[in-house]
Amino acid sequence: MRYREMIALLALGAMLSACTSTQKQVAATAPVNWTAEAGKRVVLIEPDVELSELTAGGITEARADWTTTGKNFIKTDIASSLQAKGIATTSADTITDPHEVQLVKLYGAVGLSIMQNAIFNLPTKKNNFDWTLGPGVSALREHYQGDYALFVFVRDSYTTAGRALLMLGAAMMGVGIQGGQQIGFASLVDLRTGRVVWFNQLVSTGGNLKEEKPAATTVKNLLDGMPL
Amino acid sequence: MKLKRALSLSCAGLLLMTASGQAADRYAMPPPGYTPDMSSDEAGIWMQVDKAEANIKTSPQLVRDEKLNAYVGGLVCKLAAEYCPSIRVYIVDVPEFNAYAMPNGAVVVYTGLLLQAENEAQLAFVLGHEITHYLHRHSLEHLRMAVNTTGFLAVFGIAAAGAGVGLLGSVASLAGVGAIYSNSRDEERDADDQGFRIGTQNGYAPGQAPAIWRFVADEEKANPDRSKSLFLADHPESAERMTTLQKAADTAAPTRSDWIVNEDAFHAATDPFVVKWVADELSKGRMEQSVVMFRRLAANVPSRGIYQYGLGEAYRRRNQPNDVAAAASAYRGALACADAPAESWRGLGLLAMKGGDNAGAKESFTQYRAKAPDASDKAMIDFYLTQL
Amino acid sequence: MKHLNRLAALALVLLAAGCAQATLVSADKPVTVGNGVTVMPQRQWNQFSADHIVWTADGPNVNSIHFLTGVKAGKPLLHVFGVADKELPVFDAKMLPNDIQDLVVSTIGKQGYQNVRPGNLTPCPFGGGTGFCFDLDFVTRDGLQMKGMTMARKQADTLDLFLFEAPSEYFYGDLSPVVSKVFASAQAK
Repeated sequence: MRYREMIALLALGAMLSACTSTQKQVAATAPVNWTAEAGKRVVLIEPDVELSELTAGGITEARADWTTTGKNFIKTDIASSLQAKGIATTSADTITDPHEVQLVKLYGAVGLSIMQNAIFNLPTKKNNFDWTLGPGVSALREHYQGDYALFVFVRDSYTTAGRALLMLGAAMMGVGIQGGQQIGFASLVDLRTGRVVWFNQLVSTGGNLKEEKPAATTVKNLLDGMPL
Repeated sequence: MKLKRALSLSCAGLLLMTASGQAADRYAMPPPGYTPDMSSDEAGIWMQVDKAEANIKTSPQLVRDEKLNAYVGGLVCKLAAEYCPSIRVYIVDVPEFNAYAMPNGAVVVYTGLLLQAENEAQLAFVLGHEITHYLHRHSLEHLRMAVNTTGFLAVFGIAAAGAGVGLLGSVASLAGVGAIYSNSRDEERDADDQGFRIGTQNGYAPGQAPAIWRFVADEEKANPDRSKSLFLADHPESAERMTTLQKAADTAAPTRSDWIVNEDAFHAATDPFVVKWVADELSKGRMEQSVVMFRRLAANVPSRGIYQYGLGEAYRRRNQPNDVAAAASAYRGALACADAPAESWRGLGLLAMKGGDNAGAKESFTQYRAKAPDASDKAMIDFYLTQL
Repeated sequence: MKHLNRLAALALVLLAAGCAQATLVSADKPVTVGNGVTVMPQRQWNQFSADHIVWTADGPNVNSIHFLTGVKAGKPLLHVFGVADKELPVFDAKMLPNDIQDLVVSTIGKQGYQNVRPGNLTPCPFGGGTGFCFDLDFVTRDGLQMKGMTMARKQADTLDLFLFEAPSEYFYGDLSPVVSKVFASAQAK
């Protein structure tokens, strides 16, 4: 309906026009309280990652090899980052239970709202980071035995040589053409209550998830401010 | 002079050989179990369709009924012959006439196709056409997922058309749109040819191939909104294709006397779902096409009241001059059948009430309440009765 | 992605026009939602106003109440982005509640939602008179299950219709009691 698309467009427009560098929205966080039993454990929901080529014609073409590489870097870096803090991780790689599937999709809708709120500043959310998936998340808690779930989403496009030339040409005529971009978010959900306790959003015109060191930087930026 | 001519002849000969060699390679089937090189475009596409397939597997719209899956899956398997193990069939609850095969061997069949086909032969020719796109690896470079799976627009909740795309909507959305190939004419011809061959090799009556495409084309013509037709997006219509298919059918028909259509097997498999599929078709609110479709289905199986009920609803909701009478006639036709859908009484009641025939409305609504005591709109019908 | 620049430009224009700035609705004061209809909010909401008023608790992508008031004969219930008005089903002054239920179902389908199924169509109070209510089940293109609640009345050839939508998981159950109260509080001329 008109509202959703309009709002989404606005979020997009505002973000892109403002974006010449990494822009992070670190949301207010709730203190993390581990449960008394069984130590600290975070469920890593399979990161939704896609790396693609942005062609001169403006089409993004997914690259399976880059995506595999990028996703592996992300998973490895996150796991080692948490383990360094004495936090165990479990991977929820393929979710097939229908209720759990709905929870992940619900996260998608809520996560989008959180991102859009950076632009729309809903009055009821002003200075009030109050988002939840509801207590139904206990299904994830019971299945994967974690206190928190970490959701990660990254879309990353890389400009081809052809597009780079096009951009140069257009710039000379005073027309801006978008180059490759990196958009991502990372978010922590308390599996005891369903509350989103932390949300970090990354929008950048740089970044390289195809190589180890730059990928580690991206992950560090993604996890910036994570209250663990 | 002589030497030059000799050379040019042999060059021509070489060119001829090369040309036919290319044609053969173009449609060479990959070995079963093939996967593309990871750095190729093809791998990128497979990655996206693998995601789309994973999404379909967990979709609320996936039809999980074992019997129906055994029937449709069994048919696809038979048609795919030695490629059967590479193919996975998914039936999806979408009231559109469509089926498509993804490059990774996933085949999606919409329930709209199962409603609109009249028999197994028609279904077989459509499925044979679609899986030929897979078997012959058509148009990999033309595959366009209707919701751009890597598009940043999708990230921000903007879909090609329609609401409710969340952050994770960047996984290709199957519902109502699906994978859209822009196949070349050659590829469409090839899919027609090979699809036809697959169907007839399996004994299906050749005349059913042009028949089903013709039905669908007729319904599309009734669609005032033709630019948005899902089917036409996938299958650019062409009188030439129809003529070719008809010619092939006419040639093949006399070659056997035992062609099959398997109407009974088809109905046995699909009957349990038809009431629901009819309701889904009507929910689209595209009454022009629904009228054409239900008229055909009702004429094809006059003993099945559900199609006449669908026709009645389509006329009533289309509400053009003379549609009221046509709707009433269709509802009554439905009620004369063994499976008389109780909702036909409701339809008659609504017509009567709007037409000022209070007595008629009262009688029809009373019948509806008696025949469908648990109807979800019973409170509303009771309210109408108090007003009559 | 070729359309990126065009859309970004459009987005900025809309932003400048202020149509997507949400205002705060406080819980305690009645709000006019169009066509002389007022409701009591019951709790705080975020309000968007363009061609009609929308309230949301957590963002229109998650939950929303659409106040479709004063819909005239021959017009669709609302505008749908990317779909021309002439492709949308329209309200007809002679429609009965069953027909209006069908209208809502096909309109929601045009928005891209899937498997839209109505249920429990019943008369219910609207303002001082009698309107009708029904529920909805549908699925987003992503596969997220949604539920809806509608309350409507026909008044002198126009239609006033309230539509609440939220995911079945948690949000619908959490908000529907308060939304029912919002609907029940409707006062009309």
